[in-house]
Amino acid sequence: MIMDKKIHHIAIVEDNEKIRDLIQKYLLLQNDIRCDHAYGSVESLLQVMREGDIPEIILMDIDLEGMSGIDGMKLIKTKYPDIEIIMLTVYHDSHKIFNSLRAGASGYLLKHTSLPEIREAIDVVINGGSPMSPQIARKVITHFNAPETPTNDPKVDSGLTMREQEIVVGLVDGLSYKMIADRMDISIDTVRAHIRNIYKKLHVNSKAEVIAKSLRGEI
Amino acid sequence: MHNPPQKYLHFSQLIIFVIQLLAFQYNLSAQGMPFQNYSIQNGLSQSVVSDLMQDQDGYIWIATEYGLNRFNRFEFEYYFEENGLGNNGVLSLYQTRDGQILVGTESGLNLWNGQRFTRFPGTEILNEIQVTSIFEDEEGGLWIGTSDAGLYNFFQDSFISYNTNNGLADNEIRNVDQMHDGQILVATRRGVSLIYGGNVRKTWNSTNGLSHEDASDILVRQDGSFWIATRNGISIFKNGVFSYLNTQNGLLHSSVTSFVKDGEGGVWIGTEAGLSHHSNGIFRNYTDMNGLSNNVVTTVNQDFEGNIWVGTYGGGVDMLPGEKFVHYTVQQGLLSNMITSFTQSDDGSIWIGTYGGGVSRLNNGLVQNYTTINGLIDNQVYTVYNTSENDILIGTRNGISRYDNGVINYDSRTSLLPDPKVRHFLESQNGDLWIATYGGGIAQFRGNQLIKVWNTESGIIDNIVMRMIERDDGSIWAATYGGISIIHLDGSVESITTSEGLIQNSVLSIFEDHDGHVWAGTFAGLSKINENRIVNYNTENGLHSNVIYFIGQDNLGRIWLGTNDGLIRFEHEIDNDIDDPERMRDILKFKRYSLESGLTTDEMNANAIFQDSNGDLWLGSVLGVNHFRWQLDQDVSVGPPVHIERIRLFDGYVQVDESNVFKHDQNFIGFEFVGLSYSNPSEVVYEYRLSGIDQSWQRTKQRVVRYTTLPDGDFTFEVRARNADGYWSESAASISFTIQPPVWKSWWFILLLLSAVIIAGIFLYNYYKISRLVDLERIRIRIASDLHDDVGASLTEIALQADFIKATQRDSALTESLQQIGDMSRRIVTTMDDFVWSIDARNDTFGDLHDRMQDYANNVLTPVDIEPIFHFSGFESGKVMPLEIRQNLYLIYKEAVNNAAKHSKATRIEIIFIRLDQGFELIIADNGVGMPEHIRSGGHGMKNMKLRAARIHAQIEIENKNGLKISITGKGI
Repeated sequence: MIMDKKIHHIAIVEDNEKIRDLIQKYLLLQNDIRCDHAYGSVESLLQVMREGDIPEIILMDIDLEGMSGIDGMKLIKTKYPDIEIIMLTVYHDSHKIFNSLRAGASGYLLKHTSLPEIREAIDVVINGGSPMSPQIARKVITHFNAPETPTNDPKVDSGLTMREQEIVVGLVDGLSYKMIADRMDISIDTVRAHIRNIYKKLHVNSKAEVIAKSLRGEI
Repeated sequence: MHNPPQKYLHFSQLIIFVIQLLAFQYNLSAQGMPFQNYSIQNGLSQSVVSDLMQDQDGYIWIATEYGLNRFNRFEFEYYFEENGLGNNGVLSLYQTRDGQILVGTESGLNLWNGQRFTRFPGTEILNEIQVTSIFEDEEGGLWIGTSDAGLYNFFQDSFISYNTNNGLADNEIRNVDQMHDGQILVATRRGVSLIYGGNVRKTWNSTNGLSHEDASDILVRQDGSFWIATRNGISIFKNGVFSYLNTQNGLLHSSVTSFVKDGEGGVWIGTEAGLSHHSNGIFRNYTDMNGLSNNVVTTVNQDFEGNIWVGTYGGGVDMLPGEKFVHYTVQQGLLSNMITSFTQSDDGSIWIGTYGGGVSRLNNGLVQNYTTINGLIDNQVYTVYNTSENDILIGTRNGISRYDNGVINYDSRTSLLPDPKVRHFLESQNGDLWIATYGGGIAQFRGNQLIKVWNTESGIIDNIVMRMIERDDGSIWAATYGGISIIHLDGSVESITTSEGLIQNSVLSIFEDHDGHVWAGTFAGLSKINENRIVNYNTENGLHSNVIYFIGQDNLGRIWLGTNDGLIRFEHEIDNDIDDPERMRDILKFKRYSLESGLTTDEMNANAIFQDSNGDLWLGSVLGVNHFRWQLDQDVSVGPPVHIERIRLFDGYVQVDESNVFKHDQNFIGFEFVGLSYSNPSEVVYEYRLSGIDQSWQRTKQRVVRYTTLPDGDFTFEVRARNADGYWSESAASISFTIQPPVWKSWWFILLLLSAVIIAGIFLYNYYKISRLVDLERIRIRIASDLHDDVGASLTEIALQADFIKATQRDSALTESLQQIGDMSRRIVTTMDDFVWSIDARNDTFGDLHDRMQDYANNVLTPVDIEPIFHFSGFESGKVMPLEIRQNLYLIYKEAVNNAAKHSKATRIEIIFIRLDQGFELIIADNGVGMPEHIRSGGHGMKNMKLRAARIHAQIEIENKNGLKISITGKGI
């Protein structure tokens, strides 16, 4: 255990009380994690955040009573762009997952993911990475290659670099991060960094949309 | 002195006067009469009229050179050869006392049977002959005149023929009449014959007394004399002696064609140059100059309301609603039709003030106009007044002119007026002249001295003064736009306004009746002021219009009101407490006269009423003068005959007949009816009722009543009509009809219905079965997703719980167990997720299938080191995929991938999913050991795959060479 490790502030929004409690209790066992806020709705969390208690990472359920997880994330991301958000979901629904990634999520987890894996995912995010599954990778390709991709500024969506392309294609082919790292002769951390970058490109794009929407008065 | 010498002035005025006489006088014999013309443009079949009559039902029948017309004042009904007439050229009309309608045509005699025309039985001998006249004698014998075959007398089953061979004056018969002693008079082309006892007894022609031998009509008078219409005036045979009436006696023209009695001892006479009315020894003549449409009058008749009907040669029919209204308009020489005022000078001339056309003077049939050319101060004249000095004062928009000794002069009082717009003059008993102005109040003059201006400052209520009257006590009552102001002799002023009960403060007109009641006309109705009591009248209590322009009274005490919608006769003395309420209901206190009763227009003008020395009323309108001889106006005391003319169903008309039976869905029924009144049709009121539907008589002014959704049963519809004078039809018209019960009451329909019910039952049963299947499917999906959501959540909890406990203790055996619990739970969740996905309609696009297939392959194949290679092409990932195909393909795919993972020992597996034309192909090929023998023969997995392929009508091929290759091709996506 490295003593100078920073204490990370994690918040949870999950409407299943038992699951929420379990994750919270588990995280509280971790030395470097603080988890004071676990709520059943985005609104409740926003309430606390308005009082000034801003978490670093939020685990966010998608299907919620009231404001949906995706809407909540958009809102939080526009106000606090530095907060990392990991989506929690029951369904293995790639539409929703991809939409949430585009809206700014740094990763996603299925709810039945084991607690140590949740911890791992948090670490990955803290270290500047993001998880990406083959389905999501496929959607990333479709997104960046589609000529009709909606964007107001073509420069923002200039596409992926060759490296990034290769990594995504590898992911689409079902390769693990390690296999990709081997194939491309780079470190696994570099793969993670690239993937992180790809996410950012997705986010930038979606931020542009958010701005456009707010100009049109939809938000 | 700037004035020219007096002598010169007189001379110039004389010259102007002479020029005026030459230039501005018109012959007034051409006074306008309210003829109403009905000809081709109104629907008459042809404009040359040979005969016309009113039948006992009230219809007007009009015979023309082409077709017979029946007229109800609104529409013409036509009859031609196709309706049974012997010929389209119709010459003569007659109705017998028992109601038979006979029609003489150019080819014989026809009888109307209510539906069509037939040959009159027994008159076949006339079939090829022109029937020119028809007459029924006292005994019921018929006398039929022809154009060249003499006269036929039909009686019972035989006939006698009269012609030149047995002494008749001529074979061309014009008309027949019967003397009081029974002798028959026959007017012919060459004289008049007298028939009695089967023989021609005598003949008159130009040699023995007739003014001309060519006789066209004959009329037996009440006193036993008879009138003969000839080409040279009228010959009258009375007490054995002939006397004559001709143009020198005032007859319009010597060529006389037709007679009809006027019912008052006079005779209306048709001539070839117009219409004459001989009454009390005087002829009144009317031609096209007076409004007749055509001067060649072929026939003249009178209806039971007293209207005169004139048939003409080429102008159709003209109807004259009596002689009570005579018109003067610009056609008669006035310079403007906007009539504002009248007065009468001592020589009897009527002076007419017009707005824009100066003053016109009517005298002995001449009209003479005075305008600014003649020195009038302004052509916009509001009022004219005959003073006690027999000057005519003319009040205009711009001051006063005075007609004095044949010359129009400037009246010097103009300069003293508080406002130049002069609305009324009044000389009071003390000789003062009161001048009402529009905006400056009232100026009171004594001689030429202005002694007082009465305006709002001196106490009257408004400066716009329309009219004044002087009461017996010497007070002046003024109609102003603020109410009535009363100026008492002592100079005190009081007012009557709405606060005192006046109906409105804008008073247009004021009038004192013979009994000393003051009447005030406003824009909102009429007020009657009687001592301290004010009674108000408006449309709420029977008045036809609220704008009362003028008020007058005739010598019978009746009040006449000019409105913006006609003239109203108000019998204000009719008592409301007549015993019989039924009778009271129909006593009309207000009777309306309109354009159709003979006025020039319905819009009267403010204070444009005057009673002349004969008692006649002169009424000014926005469209000319109506000289109203109210003495000639008589109530029509016979109610309008009423007839139901047509029945209208939803989809068209049906003829009215005795037995009207309608189907149950023909229960949208309209009745069209008419009450025959020709002089005042708009004032006819109808009452109708439908037995069983209407509780009591319903009133309407419409000529149609509609009923919708009548139930089945027997009905009787009745309607009656009331004329403008309050008299009802003698009997109501009625029609009985039946609406049949709907078909669902008949046996065959019930049978049909029964079988329909059975068929529907079978259908419903099947439908129920199918929908149960659909429901089952729905329930299955619900259970699946509920399982996933609830059980999945619980399993997730278990897994997390296990993780948590594992994290908080150190026992390795326990850790192992907890790990297993967690793994097991997660596996169940994953499996369930997969299963729910495959049957859940929410995830049904190609893209979803691709994702799922990749996911599955990655999950299953990666642990056993088989590399999956995907080739997907041709599909739009967002496109919806049929549930059946998606479900079955995915399950086949899972089975195949699972088999490969377990048995193939392959290193890689190719998964190809491509779109073909109208279909698809899925290939799962590995590079492994192939299928073991025992499975190839039909192992469980293979059987399942085949079953699933068959379900979606897809072909499945299995190639067991260099590994296993499974290909599925199908259609439907």
